[in-house]
Amino acid sequence: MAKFFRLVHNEYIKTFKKLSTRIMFVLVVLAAVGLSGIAALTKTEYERWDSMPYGSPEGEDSYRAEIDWEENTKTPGWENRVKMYEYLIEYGENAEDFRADMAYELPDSLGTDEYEEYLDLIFKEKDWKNILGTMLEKTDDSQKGTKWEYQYRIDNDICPGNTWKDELISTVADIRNSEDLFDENLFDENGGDRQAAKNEEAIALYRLENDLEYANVDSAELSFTDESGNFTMWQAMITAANLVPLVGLLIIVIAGNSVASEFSQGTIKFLLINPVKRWKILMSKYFTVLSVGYIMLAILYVVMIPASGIAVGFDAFSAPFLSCTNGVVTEGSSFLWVAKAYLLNSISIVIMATLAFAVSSLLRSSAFSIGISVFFMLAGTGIAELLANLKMDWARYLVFSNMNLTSIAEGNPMFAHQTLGFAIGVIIAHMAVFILTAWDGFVRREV
Amino acid sequence: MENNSQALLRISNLNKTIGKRQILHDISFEAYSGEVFGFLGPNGAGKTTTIKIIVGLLGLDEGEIYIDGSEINKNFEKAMANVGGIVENPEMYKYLTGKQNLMQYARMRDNITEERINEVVETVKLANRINDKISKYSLGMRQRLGVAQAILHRPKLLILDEPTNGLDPAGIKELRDILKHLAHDEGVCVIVSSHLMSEMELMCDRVGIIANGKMLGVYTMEELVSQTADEKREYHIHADDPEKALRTIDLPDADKSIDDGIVKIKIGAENADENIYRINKELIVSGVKLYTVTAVETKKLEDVFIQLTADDQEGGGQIG
Repeated sequence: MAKFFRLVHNEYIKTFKKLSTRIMFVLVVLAAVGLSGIAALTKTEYERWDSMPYGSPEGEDSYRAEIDWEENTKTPGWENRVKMYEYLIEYGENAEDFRADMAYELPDSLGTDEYEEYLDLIFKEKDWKNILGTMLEKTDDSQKGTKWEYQYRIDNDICPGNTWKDELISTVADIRNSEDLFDENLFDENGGDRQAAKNEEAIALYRLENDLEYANVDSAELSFTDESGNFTMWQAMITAANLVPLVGLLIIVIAGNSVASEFSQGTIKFLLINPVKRWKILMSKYFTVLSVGYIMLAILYVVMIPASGIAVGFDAFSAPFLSCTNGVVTEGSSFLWVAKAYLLNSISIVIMATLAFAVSSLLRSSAFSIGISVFFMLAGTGIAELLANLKMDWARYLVFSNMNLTSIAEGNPMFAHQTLGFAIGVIIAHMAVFILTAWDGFVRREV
Repeated sequence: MENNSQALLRISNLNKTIGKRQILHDISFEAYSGEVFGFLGPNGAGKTTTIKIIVGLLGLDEGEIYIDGSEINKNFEKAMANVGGIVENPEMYKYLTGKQNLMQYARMRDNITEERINEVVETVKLANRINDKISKYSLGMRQRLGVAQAILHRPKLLILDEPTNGLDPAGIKELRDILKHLAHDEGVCVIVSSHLMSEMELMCDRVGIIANGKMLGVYTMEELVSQTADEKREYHIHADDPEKALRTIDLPDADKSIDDGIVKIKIGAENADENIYRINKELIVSGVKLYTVTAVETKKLEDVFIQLTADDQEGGGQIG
């Protein structure tokens, strides 16, 4: 074993003394910094839009314009809306907080007098608790969520306004309001099922109770903003999972060169006349290639922590990762959550690096092995999807049809009845073939 | 020194076919500790193939190879632990320094200390350039670094494939001295391949001659030198009147001719000294102005080698 690590030590020296490898590491760091930079730019742009004046004289002008429009078109309920805009103009400064939103949300069905009563309540009452208390009384019992919201705000002293809790409270309220709808139909209008909505509600409540301004949850799409629309360092970090294929590209180059370059440089003869069995040399090379790949991933991860923090702020640093099954919320580490995402994405690069390694060992041509592997890395999934669309069922046995373990685990496979176990089996079978090919090419071939 | 009666390298009935061509036919020979063994043959004779098989780069179809008692296919790691070598060109990792290259080989062997590395660097006289990158080395320096790599672990068997290729005369002499020192003073069995007899003559104790994949024979240097003795000897006679000199020479079975004003005669090796004395005397008596009489070496080692290998190509086989 000590001898094996001496061989690995040799491979590390050969790999890291090459200028090309060093450039690759610089590229990984630059990619991480660049992605954080894009996050920072996007955030700045969003904030510029958000800080557009609102409720100011310009706001007043826009209200007057709305009144003109309503008076001209006279769509049903226009009198109520004109009244509302008049209140907004009158109480312009106060309208900046929750009052405007509350007024907007008043149902159109109210009669003119009733409507004005509400507007009086909303705009003239100073104590927000009184407003909510009255609203609570007036709200219909069928609006479970809204009633819960008013009660919750009063009980927990959460004034409606621009605080992070509003988002969570309205999430819970919306879900509770449409609860009956879920009972009738299994699916809501967004395609999520009842259980997903219940889980979302549980997470929102958990955050409210534990005072978690920032929390990470699994979401299907990678974006710079979290569920509440906040730019957080965690979202930037999880987005950087998109950079894992870049590491894949670099590691394919290293894998393709590892064996082939020994032949092209002629150093293979010096390597093999030593009292070391060939398969040990091959395994030390394979181990080195894969571990260098994971070192690159680790560097991506480590650089992303400060880079994303500097780019969008460290506010969310201590945010936990929340997951929910059957309404039970579990708190986990966000560091692990991101690491897991990188590792899941790394499966395909391990497969492609192994392919490059095998071709390199078999044909002793680095260009060819790099070319083949990059081609399959970029086009493999597309080819598999095409075959799936053409109803060619045998394509389920291709490794490319099985590389996206995340979506297979979530139940969205390319082929029907493609389970996680099946996918892992196909991957292992392919890896075994690749490794045996490399083995055969290296151990049996004559130099 | 190692026990000389025991062969360090023993090759028996080695056969190798690559593609459809049989490269080696029943190669057998032995090499001993403390000798420089020359492996001589024209290009394409199978020298490099044999060497590659000995060091395990190529597999063999038939035959056995024992290195210090270990069969290379049955006990590869143990057999190779006693072998050092350069096969074909001394290729190194160009982006590493000489020292870093040596460290690579040191890690693949057991128990090689920093002192040992410095020692071999001194031996091959690379101490002042050892921290330069290989890309800045000349071919001669790479060859010497190759030797350093090959002797790093004090192998009992050192195999060098055409080591003098690309070396200048001073470099060749230096290498020769190193190899002789290793064999004669340190008891290493050194095997050197070459297609130049003149090179072998200066370096080797014994020479195995290979042609067309067949071992033609193994000879000591003395045996080969005695092969140069021939039945005829040639003398060049420089005199003022070649025509008259030619007529004067009276020896029944002598070949006589004039070439460019010089009388050339070939006489039987037996009694050659007596006969040439008589010829000299007759020439002087006959009044020819005799300037010089020179004995010409008819056969050189190179000729022996060419004759040996040519005989084989005609199907003649061994020398008698």
